[in-house]
Amino acid sequence: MPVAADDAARAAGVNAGEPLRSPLFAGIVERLRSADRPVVLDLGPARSRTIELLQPRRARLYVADLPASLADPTGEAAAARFEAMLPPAVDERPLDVVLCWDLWNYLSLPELGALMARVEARCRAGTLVHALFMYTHRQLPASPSVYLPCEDGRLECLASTTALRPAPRYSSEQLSDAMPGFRMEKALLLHSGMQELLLERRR
Amino acid sequence: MFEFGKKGSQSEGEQMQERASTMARETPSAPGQTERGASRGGNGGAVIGRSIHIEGDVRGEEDLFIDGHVQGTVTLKSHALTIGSQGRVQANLYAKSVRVEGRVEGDLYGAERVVITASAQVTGNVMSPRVSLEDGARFKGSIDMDPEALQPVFGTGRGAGSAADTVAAGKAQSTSTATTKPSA
Repeated sequence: MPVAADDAARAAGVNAGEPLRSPLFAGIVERLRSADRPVVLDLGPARSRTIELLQPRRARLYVADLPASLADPTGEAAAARFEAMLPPAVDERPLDVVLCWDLWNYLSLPELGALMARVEARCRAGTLVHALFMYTHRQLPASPSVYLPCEDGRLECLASTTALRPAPRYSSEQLSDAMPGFRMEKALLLHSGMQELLLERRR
Repeated sequence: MFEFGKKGSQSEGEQMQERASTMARETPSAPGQTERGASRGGNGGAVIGRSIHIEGDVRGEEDLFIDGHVQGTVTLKSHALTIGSQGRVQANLYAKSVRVEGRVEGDLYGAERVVITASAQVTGNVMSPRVSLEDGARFKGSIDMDPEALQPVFGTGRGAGSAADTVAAGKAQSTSTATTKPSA
């Protein structure tokens, strides 16, 4: 049964129209400001604000648009699917930052492990991974939301649907087990109930 | 005047190009785009119309609007390239500026700028110092915003010049070529 947009937004852990305060993402933005030619992988769809944020840094931005690919299942095994879903590397330069947005909420643990193993292969020691994971609420929008980064590091969230689905709410141990190549650096429970995660590729 | 030609058959190519040029200008544009398409063909540069299908290299020294199908490589020296909303391109694109409203599978090299509009679907890599992408566009690939990365492609002058030709020629494995030249 459809729900009101406000309910979906609340379920996503945000207030509609009000950018989400996300200190860990703001920290990544700060690091990117001082970076020269950073390499960023965005697992979500291409967004103008992400490009505007990175343009002055002379960055390379890989856009995977996984939500679109996941909506079109091929029946292949997860590892093969995710390999095909990630944009091919242009050269040997490793990733500096990986932006996952809320995508992890929509993957099973085996899928999450398969995806992050493919991502890990393109990282260097110290590569940062940012993700938003539902922690408090039992439901969230039925498909990944769109996140628009603000210049000050906040995130504007646009729920892509008013339909809801159960939130997986994996424990930190489950997440760590699924991604052994990454170490949980920081986790913040945002006022909205969304948990903001910052991981680092192990050295 | 346009010049299209299969490799080793220039006169035949000229005739093909002539026909293509005429057809392109006579091809009706999508609803709501008739005026713009016509003006581009008449005053703003060359047009590859919706019914035209080209396999091979397209080179030119004037602005080009593609609303048809192109497979191969498109190289414009110091000019603007637009892929219209009906355009279906499987090619690497080299131009001073590239604007995509339709579908592209291939790499886009914009010496000055690349614009991907909301209606566009792009699979490939973009390389340009200035990239703008309207929300709603479907994009998968990489966007390289480092001007220095373009130097091997366009040379230090950043105009779509001989280096771009070299790269394009090296990548193209096409069976025919199509060349545009300014009207005499």
